[in-house]
Amino acid sequence: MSQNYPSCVVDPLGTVAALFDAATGTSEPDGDGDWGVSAVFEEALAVPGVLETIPEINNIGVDAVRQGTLVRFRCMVQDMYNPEFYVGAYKDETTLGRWKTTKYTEEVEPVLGRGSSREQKIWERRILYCVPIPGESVWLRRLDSKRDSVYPWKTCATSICAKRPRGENVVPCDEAEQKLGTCAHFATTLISESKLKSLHTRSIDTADVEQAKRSTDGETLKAVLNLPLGNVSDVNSIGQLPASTPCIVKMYGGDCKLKLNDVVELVGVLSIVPGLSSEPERADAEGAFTTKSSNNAVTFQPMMDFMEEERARNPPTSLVPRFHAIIFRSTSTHEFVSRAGLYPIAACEALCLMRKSELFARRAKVRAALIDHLSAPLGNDATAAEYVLYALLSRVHVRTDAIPIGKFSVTLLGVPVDNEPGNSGDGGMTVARALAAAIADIAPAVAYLQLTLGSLNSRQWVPKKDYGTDRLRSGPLQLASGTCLILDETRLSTGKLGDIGVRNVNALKEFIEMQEVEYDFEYHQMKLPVDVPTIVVSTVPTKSVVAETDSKVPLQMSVKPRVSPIVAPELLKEMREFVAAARLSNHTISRESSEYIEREMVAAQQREGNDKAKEKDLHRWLTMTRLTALSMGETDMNAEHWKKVLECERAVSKRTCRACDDC
Amino acid sequence: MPGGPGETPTGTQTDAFVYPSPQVMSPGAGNINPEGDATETYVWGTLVNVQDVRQRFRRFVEHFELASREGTSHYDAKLRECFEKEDFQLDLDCKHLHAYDPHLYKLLVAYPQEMIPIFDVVANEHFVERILPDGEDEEFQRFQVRTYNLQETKPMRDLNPSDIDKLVAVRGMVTRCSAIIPDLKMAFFKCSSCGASPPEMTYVDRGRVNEPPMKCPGCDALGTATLIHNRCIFANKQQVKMQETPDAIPEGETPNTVSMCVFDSLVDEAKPGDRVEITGVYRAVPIRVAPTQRVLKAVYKTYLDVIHIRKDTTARIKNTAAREDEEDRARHERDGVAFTPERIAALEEIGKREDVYERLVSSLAPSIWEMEEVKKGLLCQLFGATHKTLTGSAAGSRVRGDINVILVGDPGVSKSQLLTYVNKVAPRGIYTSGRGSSAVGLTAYVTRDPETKDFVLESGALVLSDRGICCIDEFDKMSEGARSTLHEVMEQQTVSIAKAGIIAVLNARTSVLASANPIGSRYNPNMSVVENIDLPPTLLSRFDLIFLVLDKPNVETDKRLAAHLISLHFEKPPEKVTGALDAATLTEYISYARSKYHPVLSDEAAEYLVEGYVDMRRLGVGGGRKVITATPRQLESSIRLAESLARMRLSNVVEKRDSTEALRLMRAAMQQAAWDPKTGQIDMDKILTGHSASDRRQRGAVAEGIAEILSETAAGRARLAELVVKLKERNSQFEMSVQEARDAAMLLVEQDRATIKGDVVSAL
Repeated sequence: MSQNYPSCVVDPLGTVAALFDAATGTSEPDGDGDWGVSAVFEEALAVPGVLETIPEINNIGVDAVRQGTLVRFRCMVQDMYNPEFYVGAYKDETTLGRWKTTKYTEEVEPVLGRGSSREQKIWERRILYCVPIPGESVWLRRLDSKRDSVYPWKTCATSICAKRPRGENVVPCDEAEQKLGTCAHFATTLISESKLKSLHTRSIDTADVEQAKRSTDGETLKAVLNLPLGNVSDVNSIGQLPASTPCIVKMYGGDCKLKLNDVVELVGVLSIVPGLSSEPERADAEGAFTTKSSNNAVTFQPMMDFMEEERARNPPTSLVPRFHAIIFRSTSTHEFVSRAGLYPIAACEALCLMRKSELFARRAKVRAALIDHLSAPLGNDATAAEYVLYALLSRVHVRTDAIPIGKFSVTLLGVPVDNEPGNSGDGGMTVARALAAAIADIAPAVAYLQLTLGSLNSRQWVPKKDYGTDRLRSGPLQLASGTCLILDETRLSTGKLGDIGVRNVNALKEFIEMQEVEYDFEYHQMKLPVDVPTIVVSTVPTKSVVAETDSKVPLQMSVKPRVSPIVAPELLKEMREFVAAARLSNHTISRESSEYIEREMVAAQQREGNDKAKEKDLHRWLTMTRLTALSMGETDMNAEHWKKVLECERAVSKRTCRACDDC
Repeated sequence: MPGGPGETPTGTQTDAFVYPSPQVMSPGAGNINPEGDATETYVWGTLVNVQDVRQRFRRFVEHFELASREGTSHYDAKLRECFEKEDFQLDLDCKHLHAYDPHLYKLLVAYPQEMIPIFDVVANEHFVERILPDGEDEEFQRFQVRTYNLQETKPMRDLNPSDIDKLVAVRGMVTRCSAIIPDLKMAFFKCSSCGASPPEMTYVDRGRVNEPPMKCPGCDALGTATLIHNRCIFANKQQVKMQETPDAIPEGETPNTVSMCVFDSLVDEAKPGDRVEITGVYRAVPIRVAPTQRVLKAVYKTYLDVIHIRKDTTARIKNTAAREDEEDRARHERDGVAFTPERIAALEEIGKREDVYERLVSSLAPSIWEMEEVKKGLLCQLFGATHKTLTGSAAGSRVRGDINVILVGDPGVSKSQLLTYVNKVAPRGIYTSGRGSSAVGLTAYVTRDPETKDFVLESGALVLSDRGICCIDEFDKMSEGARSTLHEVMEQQTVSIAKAGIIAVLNARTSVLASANPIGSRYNPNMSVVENIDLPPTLLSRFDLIFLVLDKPNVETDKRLAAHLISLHFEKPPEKVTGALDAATLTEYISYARSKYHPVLSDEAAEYLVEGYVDMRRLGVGGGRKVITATPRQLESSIRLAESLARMRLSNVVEKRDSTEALRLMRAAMQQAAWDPKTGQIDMDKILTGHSASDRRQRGAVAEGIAEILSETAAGRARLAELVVKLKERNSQFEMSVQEARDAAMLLVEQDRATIKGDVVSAL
């Protein structure tokens, strides 16, 4: 590898230490600071090609991550813990009279001997429990990093870099070459030690996992990991990717305005320290490590009764590693598609715009390909495919106090009952599954949920605060914005819904109709907005069992449903980017068009009887008009789009009438 | 590390507030007060002079007086009171301390672990010297000073490392309490070989035995001492977790929690679900991963050592909607004000404006279009009327002030949205759907407590919305049984339970807001209103307002709706209607009006209402079909509406305009403009499209004609028959029946320009 990597990429903790040293020197740090850390890292990442080489932990698997190297983590905020107080910097004999920071790490060097006089600073950091984006498509994970390109700087990546004596560590960042040399030198001299250590780490680690696996059945493991969709998150990714690993993310700097369910891209350091977790924690009783004014020996009995809680919040680091975020940015799955591997926002915006206009220029071709792709599992029903595409592109763009504007959900009615899933020619794929797979090919995140009496009655779908463990127990309805939710009703049988089942159905109703989920905090409920287009697949010919979607399309298949054929990679890429760009796109409307639509709407309301349009219909038509335009790669609404929508609606209502006559 | 334990006397005092240590806290401590000592003692690591603090606090205890009770030392009196009650907690209001000695207050906040033990000592000295009767000094419990009411309550989120070891006050909601943990305070040892035991108990200092007797006093054997558990002394200790209150959580984040340690008498003070304000010392201790490992987590564990727990009741008081009788009002005043003077001024400002009614209407569910009349009705419900308790012969019986409203109408006219909105703004309310509600779910049910196995009453929706609004959607889908339970609630405002040995009457002073579809989902113009609604008249008559929300086409409104939707979807989100109040302010305004104003009818207004009632009653007479007849209930309803209208404009007197509006609302609700009293049917021709534009124009012209005629007459009134004749004189086209003239006049009534009484039309 001849490419030069900035030192901060190779040895992030070393860089932080150096910057800290430069900023404070021998004087006492007057508080938690940045010391130019984020600036240095941002600058390094802005260099084209650098971001791509930083491994994404869920792409390469946590096991392959080497300690102390810079890694990326794209995730969703699942829970927020209390902020944590930690020793951020200290000074004692071992540090040779200089202050040393422990920011971005998990442990402190132990105090040497009893008489050691250590001074220390207590700072605060924010703790988030982050999970890989639920239902993230395989291709998205693969998008910006290749497995074989991990660690191009193999020679010098060791965690021990951070432990070199301070004095030698003051290496200017731009002298990457020199740095690489030093690093290599250290790597060789310390290689034996590192090998030993890593061996040790590994063995304890695996023992840890083994133990966790042995002592805990699958259920408990699930509870520990707390993944919204469980361990099998993707429709067709099993075996292709390493298991999803959530992380406990430690955020530094006070101004992170992240919210629950936000999608974030983090760059930082992973820390897997065996033993740092589930063991019963004991408060330190040694006098040397107490705070200033509590000068007596303090033996605080740890929360004995809340042991379970401690254990639940701090699972073994081998299961849930700790991630120390150095820089972060909020993003969304769709945004990510179009600017994967790009760091500075400004640069990617320009590029995205270019790509978008390119894409929109080839819109006819891409759109046809999309419809083809989506109609295959629907038995070539192009109209239904059209509606599915609308749902994929829909986005809540305004929320008034009563309704979310822009959401679009659809129910596919009268899907053939597939009694013997293993028997059909296409490898046991039901319509719903095949559709989910087809959507996963082009949408960045898909959640496929099967509705059965069992699945509805067994657990709460809405996240619930568990005060026993003090964690927010996730549910399948905790999804990131922009995820496409597919509800498969086809397996629903008659039976009784229990208390939980009824609640789940109500939650689904609210989810689909109001795009809101009410999180259960036992003592109070908290409503969180979601932006998740939903596609319901039902065997019933008239209406969905659980919820009222915006549109209902009875399916009319002309051929047997099949798995979508494989598309040329180049076209597939275009389709994906098109979906992402169209979903995020803005829209405009000219005065004439708006007047035309207004007239049409008034006329529709004047009609008699069942033909009379209601407010709900008008909302739907307007949303569809916007989506039609976007699906055609146009951002300006016009009368043509409106007409096309009404055409579609007529076709569907004709089908609906027929479905009614049938029964 | 310099300054080990015991280097300064304060070192041991530090622990005194939790673990009284013998040296300082012995009963005689006050007498051997080392104030005259040559050496000065300082709080470790600071320049705070212990003697100085003692003197300052002693001065405070002896001299602090409340403004209301000059001449007596407040805390001296308190100590006496405590002594009489045998309650040895001295609650120290820090606001008092701050007012008397700001410097001491500052010290208290900065070094609570040192200050509070000193306070304890001083309080005890004072007690022994001044209060304790002679000869009783043997066995008295020592006072513990519990500080509360700090100048500043911190949001839980703002606790940061600089608060460690400081005195903080935090508000939150208790979520978990551990079982009570016996905490060893004094240990009793016995030699296992000879059975001798040391004469004195050994004190335990924070979980450690300070001087475990190594050598047996009896037989000199080493290490034979064993702990005799049942002769040791234990204290209660409990761990409690507290969570941020819902209103303190930033949007989209999860609540923070804080752990707390609670001792002695504070144990079990707070139960899960309680809202509390905690005063305590914020502590952080490092965590060692495992005793055998050298690795230290760099993490500190934080918790609060609780000094004082105050249960927070203000939140509930503020939410309580109506205060119905004197007793309640008195309690409210005692509990203090929920509104700051500035807020009151702002709210009064809103109320004093001329257009307050219009503003309120436009503030209610601004996203729902039209339906002005319904919104006005809902506003009346939100504000409510004055509760009345009868005196004299019928003493004790109450007349409800809650207004019940039902919306009956075609599907898809945003009824549910209105209900949700009302539920949102109502200071207290429950939303339920009739389809899933059972009778017990609405009222109350008896269940066995899983822990105690006793029968307990669990409140249902109606009881929970006591003094609020219970919104019931899909009222028509409700089972007959469930609906019948509403009879009692809606008139008597109580729920009676006689089940499983529990006989109780619960208060359910709730307004009911129901929404229902007409029978057969759509309004059938061929049936009468009552037939369409299909609810038993007994129940129907309990609703003060019955709104028929019909889906009538109107090009003008349709156009506005279309334009609104387009702008919503394609352009920027619409600006808020100017002058409208936001939901929070609306709620506040409602709470304020309900708690402060209790309007009474003026004579003029009363007279007007009576006339209106007589009129209504006349309308109901005749016609063989089911029609809505006016009963005394309607009169009560109109009074209630008028009162709530007065309350809306923050007035304690119901004026004539309120009466007028109340009667108008009642008519408008029933679409009476189009209601044919003879048949009981709504003349759908007048609402539906069948009504041609020319007809409408004709009617408008006739109405104008009537208005002119009325203005020409001296009295401003005319009989319908006269009008018919006069109209014909004016314009030959205006040839019509009396009924048609009445219809046209109704248009004026709708526009509020005239009234019809019997067959007399009078201009306003």
